[in-house]
Amino acid sequence: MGYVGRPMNPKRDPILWRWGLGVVLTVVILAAGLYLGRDVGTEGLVRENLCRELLAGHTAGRQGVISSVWWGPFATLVILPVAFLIPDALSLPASLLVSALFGAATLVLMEQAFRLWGAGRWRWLLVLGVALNPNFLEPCWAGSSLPMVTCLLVLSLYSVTAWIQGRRLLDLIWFALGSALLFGTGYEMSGWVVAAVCVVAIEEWRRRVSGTEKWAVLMVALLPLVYTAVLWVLMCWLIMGDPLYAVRSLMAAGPGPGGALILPDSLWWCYAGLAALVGWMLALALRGHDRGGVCLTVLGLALPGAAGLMAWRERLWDGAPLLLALLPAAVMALGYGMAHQERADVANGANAPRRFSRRTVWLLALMPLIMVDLVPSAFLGWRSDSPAAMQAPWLPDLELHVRRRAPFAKVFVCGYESFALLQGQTSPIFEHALDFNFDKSRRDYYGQVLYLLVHRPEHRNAMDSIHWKCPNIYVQGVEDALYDSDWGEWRLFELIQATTPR
Amino acid sequence: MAVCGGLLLLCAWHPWLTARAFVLTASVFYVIHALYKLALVRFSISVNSELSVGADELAALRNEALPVYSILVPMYHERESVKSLIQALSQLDYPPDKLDVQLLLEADDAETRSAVEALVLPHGFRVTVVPVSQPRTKPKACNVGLDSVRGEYLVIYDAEDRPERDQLKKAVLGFSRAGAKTICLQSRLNFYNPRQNLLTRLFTAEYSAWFDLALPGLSAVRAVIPLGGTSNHFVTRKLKELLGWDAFNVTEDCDLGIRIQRAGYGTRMLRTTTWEEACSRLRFWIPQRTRWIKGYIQTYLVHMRHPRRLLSELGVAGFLHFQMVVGCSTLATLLNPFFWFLAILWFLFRIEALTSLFPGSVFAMGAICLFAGNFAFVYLGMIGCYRRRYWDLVGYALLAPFYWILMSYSGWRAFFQFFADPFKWEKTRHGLCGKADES
Repeated sequence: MGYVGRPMNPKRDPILWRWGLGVVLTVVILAAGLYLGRDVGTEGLVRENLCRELLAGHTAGRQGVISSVWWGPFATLVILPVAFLIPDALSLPASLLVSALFGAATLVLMEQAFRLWGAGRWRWLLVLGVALNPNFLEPCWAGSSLPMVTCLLVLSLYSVTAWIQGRRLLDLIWFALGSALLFGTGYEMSGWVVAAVCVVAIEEWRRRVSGTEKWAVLMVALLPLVYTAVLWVLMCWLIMGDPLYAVRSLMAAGPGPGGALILPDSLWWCYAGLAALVGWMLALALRGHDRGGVCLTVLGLALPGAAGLMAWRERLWDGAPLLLALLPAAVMALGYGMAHQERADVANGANAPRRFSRRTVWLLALMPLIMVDLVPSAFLGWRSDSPAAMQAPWLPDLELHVRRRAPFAKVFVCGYESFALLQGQTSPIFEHALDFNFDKSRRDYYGQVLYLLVHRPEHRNAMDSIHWKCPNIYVQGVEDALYDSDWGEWRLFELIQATTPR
Repeated sequence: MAVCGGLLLLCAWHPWLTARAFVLTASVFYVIHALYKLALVRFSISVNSELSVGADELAALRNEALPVYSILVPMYHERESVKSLIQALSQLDYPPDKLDVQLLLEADDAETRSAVEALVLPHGFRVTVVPVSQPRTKPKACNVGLDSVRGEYLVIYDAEDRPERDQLKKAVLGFSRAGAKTICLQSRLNFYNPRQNLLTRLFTAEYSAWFDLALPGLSAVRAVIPLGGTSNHFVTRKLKELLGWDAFNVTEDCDLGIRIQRAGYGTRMLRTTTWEEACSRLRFWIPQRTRWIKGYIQTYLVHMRHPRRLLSELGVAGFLHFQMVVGCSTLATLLNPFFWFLAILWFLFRIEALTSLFPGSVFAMGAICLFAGNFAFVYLGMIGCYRRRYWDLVGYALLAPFYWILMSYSGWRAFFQFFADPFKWEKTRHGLCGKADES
């Protein structure tokens, strides 16, 4: 497969078609999820309930939006308007709708990218390959932020490639906004975003234009990203009183607490295959001196690279979005390479049926790589952060247990999973605690019996503030709190009310 | 007045509730306004939003096929601009025998008249003296000139303007391509002294965002375009049908843009630039901006005198565009200081009472406007400079918030002046830039 230098296909599809396709795909994704009886996962529940807290004007909502790198603010804020519009009583969760929307947007963006690169009708096969992949669909049904990550990644990838090829201002703006928002979805994407910005910077450095023009390009490309970062720090300072609060968990925690990756181990080889596919496309782009192709594939390879870094830091859980985003990135690279080949064939005078058959053979050969995880997924089941784990039948018993001790006791439920645990709870004894302060609680609830409910520090729960403030609380308790009892994955501590002289 | 009275009564009856209702309404307004501006920019960048004429089309034009083109140049105390103006107009790429240039001089403006008399005017130039009478406004002078124009098309230039040489030819081709309903073409405006000082840099960033991003967006969606003071090209016959300009309006250009749309005609943007002088002194900039905002208030109230009629004439979409472009832009300038003040109060003193003004969803909207909306407007300024290839000014667009303070100050000055002296025309002084820079 050789590469030829040529302008991008200027033909654009009508805006109505794009929007119409997006709406249809959203409905299809939602309907399929509902038909298959998929439930919203923990992440979706947490984000949605966070938004509801925010809309209710509660401090927990404000703290929850910005206080952790686990839950990037943008991924939550984007649910906010939908949560505002969809009443609580309606059975359609806002996070599910948002995920489905972003999933559909990803597919539409990919289709548009292939079309603009000059792909033939076979582009639909590629889009279908992504759309039917359980690792793409399940997060859409789980209300996860992953479809958002995928969508922004595809947008950034496409626009940076288009920018390098055509220098259109709109592409630069889309790249700038896409990468900034991608950073806002979670810290794990920051490495990839920095890599993308470096690619733009290197491209500018190579160009023979004035220094002021280079700076102007970099400013337009970088400002949204810098602003997002500064805003996050500012919000942490204003709301949590510590500008670096969100990253404290990364700084304080030691190596990650282990735990399984979001994928079954059997799928690792499949992702290694996808990375190899991108690597192959990179080799072809280098051979054809195609700067756009090199950029696209290098940034595609940066995803498993960043995931590898996470794995090295024993944060397998954090690297999952990076790995899962490799699927659309690999398909983008494949579509780009095939579109180039198609144009080369046209230039060489190959007739339409021959071109079509060549592309189809290529696709049929490569499709198993894209779709292969269907088989193990069907057997092993896609391991989403199932809400079943969050259903806590013991919650009424816990309430009884606490009330038996004192009718007006208070239970502070620590961490983000409190938003999923307390879903639908109206009991006044439970309270979210994202930034728990022992002294302040004692002051505010003077004379009351107070409890602290702490989740086992595994996966991302280990990044909750209670764990980096009191590293051994789950195992040993702290001097302010005594072990009371275990409730599922949670452990209850009673706060010592009598203050000791210091 | 009734609305104001009602609001005051409500405020006296239940001040806290009124304040909350005000904050809620303003937050919704800000969100809609920001989204509207972003949508306009999106249209302007991606859609073929302007009429553009290629060099080959210009080369194919035959001089004998060109119509007579009238140029109106109202001047008042512009002695220092006369020479450069005549030079700039003489350099226009248009057959001199088909040019009809009128220099509109006020009868009591001896300095400009003597400066003009001292020169030998080129072929096609003439002087029209505007008799001394009230109101002393530019539109009144233009109306006097309109009475005696000979051209099929007509354009207004200010004394300090330097239009692109081929602008008239582009306009002729633009009209022929735009269709019979388009009776006005607005050229882009920009400055020839963008780097004179910080004020001109910020002014240029604003102008670039307005003329290179927002107005092309309006043109793309065929919305009302508030014309921009100068370089408006008209079909003369249609302009006469509309009875020219409103002599009492201090932004007669904006008013005329709305009237064109109300009469069932349209305005399009033409891809050509007229270079002007950016006001470089704050003491002149503030009166100029005051006049513009006062004119917008005037225009809004004049057209909203009969909202139902306006709605039926503009249609729902046109009506909403009018509210956004003329009404909301002005309102935002006036509202901003309140919210800046509230934000500063909260950041500095964390006054708890303020939080009750922003319950849940209002807080969310307010936060989005504060952090995303303001950023978007700064970013638009950068994109405007980028699009204009003012690479070195891209960074200066970051200082736009300081510029907004000046705008709001002028806005409130305009608001009070609207009641105290509605027809006062604060003349902008030109000729302060010395040598124009390379642009």
